[in-house]
Amino acid sequence: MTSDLDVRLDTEPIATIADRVVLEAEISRLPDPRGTILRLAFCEGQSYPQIAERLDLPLGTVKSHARRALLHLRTRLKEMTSWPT
Amino acid sequence: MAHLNAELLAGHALGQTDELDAEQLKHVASCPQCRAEVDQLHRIVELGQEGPGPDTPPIPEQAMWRNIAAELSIGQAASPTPGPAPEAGVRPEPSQQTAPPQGRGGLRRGFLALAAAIGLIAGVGGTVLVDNLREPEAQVVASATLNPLPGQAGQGTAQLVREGETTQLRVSVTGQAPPPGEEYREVWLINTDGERMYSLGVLPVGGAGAYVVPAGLDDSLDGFTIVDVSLEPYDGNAAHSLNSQVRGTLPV
Repeated sequence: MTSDLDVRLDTEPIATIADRVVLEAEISRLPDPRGTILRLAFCEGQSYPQIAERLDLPLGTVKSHARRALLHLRTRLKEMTSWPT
Repeated sequence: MAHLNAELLAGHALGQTDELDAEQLKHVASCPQCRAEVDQLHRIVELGQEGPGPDTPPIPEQAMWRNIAAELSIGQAASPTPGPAPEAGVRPEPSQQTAPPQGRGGLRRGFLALAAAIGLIAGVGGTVLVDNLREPEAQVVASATLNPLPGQAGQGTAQLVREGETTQLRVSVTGQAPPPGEEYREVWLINTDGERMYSLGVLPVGGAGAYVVPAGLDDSLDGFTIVDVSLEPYDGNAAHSLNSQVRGTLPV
């Protein structure tokens, strides 16, 4: 399915790049353990049970951190870049 | 049924589908509004996954601060961004691997000072020589319009100017300057790889400034072609505030 968002990203690579820079910096600003959880999930592609075991946190807590971090990143992207509202 | 709340949709975008019951899954599949939101959140997940590898995030900055703190013997208190708690045991501290051996520091500094002195003499001599031979001509290599980001006012231009061996970026931004004391503006060159950027310096309140571009970049600036003017708080944090006023790309 092609959304408006996909079209925008195809036609505006600079916006995508800027979004990625912003996202990268935002992830680096997330407080721990939230930042670590997201980096492990995004960059290392680890599963939630793996992350939970590695950080010695309950699985539900890890998942909840990831969800809230994602919503936070969306808010920041909307505030800081051309991300559509 | 009612739309799913944001957190459930975020979970769905993150692949946590076992958090949803059958009815909720059916709703997401059929509701355009919830579907669009999941798609948007999923795009952020993809952007995050496309980003640089796990070693790139804040660690260089932390290592730098730790080295500065160690050199000044002021301990942990100097770090503006405390690292992960040790008990988290996430990954080894890279600064310990990358820090130069202490014993060679003095020798290296001495060598650098000597090299800098030679460079200064050669540089001054060379400049005088070149000045005597000819006046370098300023040549506009590329220019770009800087457009405001959504929610921002202002417009600007950026010109890449070669003058002899030096490349300068001349930036001019019209529109209201932020109130001095609250925010100032900073000029950046962002790489099209989306991973690296240089801070060129502070934009004067008047909105016009000229900045020397790091020598050693090739004719196409090694990809550092996105000119960005950010609004920076007075927080002493050297990183980009992520709050940009205008932005444009140099056609090089």
